[in-house]
Amino acid sequence: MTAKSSTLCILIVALFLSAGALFAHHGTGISYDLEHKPIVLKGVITEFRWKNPHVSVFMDVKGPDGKVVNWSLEGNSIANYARMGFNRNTLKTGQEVTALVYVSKVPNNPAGVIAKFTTAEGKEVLRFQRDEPGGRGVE
Amino acid sequence: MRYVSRTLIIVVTIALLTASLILAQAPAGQRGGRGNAAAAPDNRPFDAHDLSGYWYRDQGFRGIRGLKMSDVPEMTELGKKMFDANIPVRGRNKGQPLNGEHPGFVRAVIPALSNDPIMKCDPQGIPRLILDNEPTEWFIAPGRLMQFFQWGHIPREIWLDGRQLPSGENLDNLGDSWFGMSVGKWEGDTLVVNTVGQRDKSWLDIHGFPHSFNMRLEERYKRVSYDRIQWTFTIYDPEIYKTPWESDVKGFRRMKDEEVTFYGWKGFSGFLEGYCAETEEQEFNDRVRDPAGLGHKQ
Repeated sequence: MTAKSSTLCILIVALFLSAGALFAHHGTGISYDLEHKPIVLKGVITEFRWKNPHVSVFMDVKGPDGKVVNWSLEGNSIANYARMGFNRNTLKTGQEVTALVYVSKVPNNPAGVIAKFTTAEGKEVLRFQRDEPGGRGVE
Repeated sequence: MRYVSRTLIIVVTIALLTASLILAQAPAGQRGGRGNAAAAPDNRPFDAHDLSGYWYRDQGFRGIRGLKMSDVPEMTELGKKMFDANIPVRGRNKGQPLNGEHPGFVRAVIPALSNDPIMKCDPQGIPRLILDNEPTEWFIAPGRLMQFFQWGHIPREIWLDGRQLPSGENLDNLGDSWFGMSVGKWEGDTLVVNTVGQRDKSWLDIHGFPHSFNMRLEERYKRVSYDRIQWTFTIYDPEIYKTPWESDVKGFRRMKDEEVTFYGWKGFSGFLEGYCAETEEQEFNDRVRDPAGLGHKQ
């Protein structure tokens, strides 16, 4: 195999790989960094927004400096979460949770897309993105 | 050594490619999502002319035909102008190098910079609404096949009562509308549906390909088994595209009742009503979507 033909093969394969990524149902990748590891946020739910177009969660998180910052976190649609067994009572205002979150591409911006929440009882809820980066959203 | 390493790269890349395409093309149900797709073909008898039931589009490209340049017809000058004016959020990011795709699939921006009509809850029109991966319910009403879409809570009428599709002065007087007017006729076991009169504000797909008021959309539905409908369509719009645009082969699978039943309530009313309410959409954009792309105001 010549160097030229090898390079051509690699280019063709790269084309198909990039095409596959386009099939993701939700366009969250455009605003969030899905290529690096998600971060862990521990805090208190201030609002569980069970509405279209996407369910979202707001939570207060205390930083290392003691300052509390309110994060906005984007989730899946009501219909998709319903099919996973979740509903408007899955989270409650005032509840302490741990969130796994892919952060906004804007630096130092308290916004992210949900990978999952873990309740104080250890129950994982509202799964949307995978734990590891580079994958697809979970429908 | 160089030969071995190059071959290794190719083998690994092909393995990744295979995994990527399997994930991308697999019906949602087989990915553990909205589906619970049947593991084996359903061989129960069926009436080929009965398309009623809950259906989920799980086969085919999310857009019209495919990503390649050759999958998109050449546009007219008006088509190019309208195409350039549409700014989608879907696809690969604007500015990334093309890898053989049509540029329409590599021009995505953050939602705050997009003019996608759905950001203001404008109705999506056809075929965009059917291309979505959301459940639908189809049922027979007097003289009509109704397609009822969970997302948007929208009914579409396909008239089967023998009426003619509007044309000429009649069509001009009727004017444009979000879903236009659809007439269906059976050709053997295939339902051929023609639609005209759609408002040119809607996009054909999530990538922002345009159409004109004078587009004629011809769809072909064929129930091929108890649990599957095959769907193809062709876009005839010479004001925008120099040649007809044929879709790839798409398909729907029949959904089980339990997939649309929650807490004892079946169907798309209740919390599955799926309305796109502009006030809620705007609130979401202001509080979640736009801050994620632009940054929260300090």
